[in-house]
Amino acid sequence: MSDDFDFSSGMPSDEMAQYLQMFVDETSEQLDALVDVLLVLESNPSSPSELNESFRLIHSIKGAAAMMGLDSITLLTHHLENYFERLRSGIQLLDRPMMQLILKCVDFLREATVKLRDGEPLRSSPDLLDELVNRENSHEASAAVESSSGSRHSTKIAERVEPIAVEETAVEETAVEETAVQETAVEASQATPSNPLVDKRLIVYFDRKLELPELKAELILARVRELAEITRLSPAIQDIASIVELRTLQIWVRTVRSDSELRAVSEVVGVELVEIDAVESESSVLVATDAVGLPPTVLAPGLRNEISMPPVAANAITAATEPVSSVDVPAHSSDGPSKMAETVRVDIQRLDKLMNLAGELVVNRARFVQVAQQMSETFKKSGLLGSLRDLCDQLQENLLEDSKTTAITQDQVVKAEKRLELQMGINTLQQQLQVLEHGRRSFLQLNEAIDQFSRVSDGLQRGVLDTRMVPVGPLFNRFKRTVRDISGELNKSVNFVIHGEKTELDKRMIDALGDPLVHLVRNAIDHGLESEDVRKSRGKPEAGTLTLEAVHSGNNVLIYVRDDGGGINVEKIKKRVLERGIATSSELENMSDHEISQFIWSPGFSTAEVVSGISGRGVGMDIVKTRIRELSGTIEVHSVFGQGTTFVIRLPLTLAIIRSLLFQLNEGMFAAPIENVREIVSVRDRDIISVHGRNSIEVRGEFIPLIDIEDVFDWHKTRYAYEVNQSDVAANESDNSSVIILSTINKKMGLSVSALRGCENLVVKSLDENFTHIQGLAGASILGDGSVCLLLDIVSCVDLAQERLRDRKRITRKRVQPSS
Amino acid sequence: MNKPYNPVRDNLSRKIAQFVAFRIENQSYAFRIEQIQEIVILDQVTKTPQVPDYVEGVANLRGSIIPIINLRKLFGLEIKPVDEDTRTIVVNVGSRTIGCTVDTVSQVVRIAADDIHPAPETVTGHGASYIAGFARVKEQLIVLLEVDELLDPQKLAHVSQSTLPDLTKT
Repeated sequence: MSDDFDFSSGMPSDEMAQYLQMFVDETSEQLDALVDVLLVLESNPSSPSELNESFRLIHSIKGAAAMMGLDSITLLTHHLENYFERLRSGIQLLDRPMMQLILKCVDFLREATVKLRDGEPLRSSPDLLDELVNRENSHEASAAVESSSGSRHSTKIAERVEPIAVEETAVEETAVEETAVQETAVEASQATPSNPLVDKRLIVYFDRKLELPELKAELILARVRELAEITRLSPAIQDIASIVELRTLQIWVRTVRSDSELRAVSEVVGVELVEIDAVESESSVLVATDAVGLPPTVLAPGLRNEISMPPVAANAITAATEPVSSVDVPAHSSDGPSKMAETVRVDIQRLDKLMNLAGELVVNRARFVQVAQQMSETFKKSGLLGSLRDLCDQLQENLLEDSKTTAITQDQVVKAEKRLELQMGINTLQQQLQVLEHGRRSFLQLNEAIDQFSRVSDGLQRGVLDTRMVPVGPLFNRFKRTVRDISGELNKSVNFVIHGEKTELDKRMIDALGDPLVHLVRNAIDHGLESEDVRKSRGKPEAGTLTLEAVHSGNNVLIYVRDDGGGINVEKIKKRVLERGIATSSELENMSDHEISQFIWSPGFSTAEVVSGISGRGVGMDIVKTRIRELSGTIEVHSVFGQGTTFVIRLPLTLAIIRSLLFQLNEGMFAAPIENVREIVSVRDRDIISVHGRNSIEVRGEFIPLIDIEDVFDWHKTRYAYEVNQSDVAANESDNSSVIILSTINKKMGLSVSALRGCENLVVKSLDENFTHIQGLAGASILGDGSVCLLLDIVSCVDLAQERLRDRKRITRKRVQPSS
Repeated sequence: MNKPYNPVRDNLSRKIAQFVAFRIENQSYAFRIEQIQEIVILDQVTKTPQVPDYVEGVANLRGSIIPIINLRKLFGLEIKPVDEDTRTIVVNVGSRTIGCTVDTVSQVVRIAADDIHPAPETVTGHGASYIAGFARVKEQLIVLLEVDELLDPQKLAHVSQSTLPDLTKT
């Protein structure tokens, strides 16, 4: 049994890889589901449906792993399954340490799937396995407490065989243990009154490379026979020798022995795995009661006294006399109805490719539309064609009138020839007009075709987008675990609330959001939520509330991470800002609380007084911001001191296509995401209010800073030849200028523009790809005419403008000071 | 080429590399041909903010957006208006595609490895690691440039500071 994933065994490797992919995907889904169920179980440990569900999930993971030959996973899940089997039948109660252990196992399994995906070898999990087995044993031992101390001792020996046999150490060693097993087996074969007679099925999987498995089978049968009554066998005993490749052996037994005892005797060298499950038998209840000799209800109280087990567990033993009736045969439970919709797994890179192509199509469509618009001037009914026809008709008329009025003289004959020529010319013109008319009809058809094309490409684009959309639910649900762990560690009680888990986001974004969200959640619990005492003294409920919420808003998804904790402490931030020399105290004086709280985004900033393992290293928030920016998203913070903090992450629905408003500035064509455009107003020059060199405008009683693109960006003065025509176009002579009111969640600014160019779906390309990131720009896009327009990142534009205005003020002040 | 070119003889006897030579002001430069993706004539470049002046902006190269670096400006010369000789050489720097504007692209030259001489230390000493060497072709000095060192966005600022004043003024 090798723990490395062995591609050489069995299937050809590419086929194997394909199954492996499937296994990894399925298993990670099942693990997610398992954690969900486990968390429910934590608050309600005996909920039968959750127990069944977790059993089912573990069982199917095990089944898949066994099929793939992933022994370390099979083994671990197998023990987990055993454990849940006991939980399910009520023999044991899920306690907290066990929960921790199970979660650790889940972590291990998750890690294993990641390793498999990356093609790394799997490591085994001896620690977890030992712990699991120990717990199994200690439970079994306490259950068997009524038997003599000798037998108890022997039970332990018997079970210690298991991990050794499983890890397949030297054969000699196992052989020694085997004899020990046989001794103990005989010793312990007297039925203990606490253990009812139960029907079980052992499925023995032989090692694929094992020679002469039929001999092993007989050995196992002989050993099992000492512990239990064999009721059925598959394949039948007479057939065993004749089967060419004996891979499995199923033994139905009736016994008082525990699973682990049976396992111990049947797991000999050459056996890969032994599965034991309880099976239904009509007579089992009766037999069990007979064997015990006492009605179960009488037995239970006695047990309770002697075994220090929780009362539920004691009751569970009474239930165990009829365990099978409530339990499905696990082998079938995995075949049970699944809730999943019918799906096809697609490599996300293929979707990316499709997405890019759809993006190109959108650009092409824009190009078509633009060309058609240019052509429509020519083909307009009242345009060229119409005036040509009018001209033609007029000429014809003039000619006719001319020919009526004149008599025929010598001179006239010449004229008539000319007239004839003219007439012929008019005829040709009319013919050409026909061609043109025909062209016009074709153009109309073309227009129709373009409309159709637009519709299809829109549909295709939406369709491709849809295929990439996944609900945020699984992502959010993963945080239940995080919150549970962190709150436990920090000893804070947290009421974790999730809203909007059905909101959908691009798969790539979901994948990339995990880390930043973990950070925000950690921060919220660690720094945000106060300790219970403080909360009490502030008149808040002891348990803090942490909300994770996703909301759909236009072409965006907003994700809120909200806590009802202490809020950002502005004084603390000021102190830290001064300590770190990020800003001077005079600068801080000029800032609003909101502006000051923005310092949390500065690199290397942290206000946590104690650096805990969870947060406070100060590397966090700026990285969060960078990550979100990489997703073309923005993040903002709102905080009310004493009442809580809310982080708002705004993400585009998709990374690739953003509906934007196009406008012309002196420097060229720009675009702003339509979500950021609140309105467009027309402003007369005299309506601009200029105070201390800063312009603002009044819009319905609200004063909004008016900003020029020059205030936002540094433009080098070098003028390369290409720009000339653009600035000509941009010249705007009129007194009125258009101002776009751009808004983010809590900031507004007016940007004066030279001309507006309407709305378009822009396929956004990152500038980082071939160049570097430019602050204030979210990317660039190719327009219908092939030129490139720059897409503004409004949030950082506002920041830039504020920064630069502040700097300018500082510079002018400095300049003023020496002269005065 | 001054003497008839015999590919078999030349390639067997000496290691020969092909270079694309171009001109800026009066000086010839060359890139190794493998580093060049294509040579294009651009009609539109969109100016970008927050960048040094040697960045003309970004342009659309068949659907991908590439930055355009003006080599004259990068080498500390005044820009000159775009004319019919102006070309943009599109090069690959790592995974990035970058365009650079030059006065004119002259020819493809074959230069034997033996004919490439290290640049004088006075030139490379300024941190001009983007100069791979000097070569003399038909009595003309060609400065061989290393694309990865010259046009990597991370190294541009450094290059701009250590331009070749003495070479470009001749």
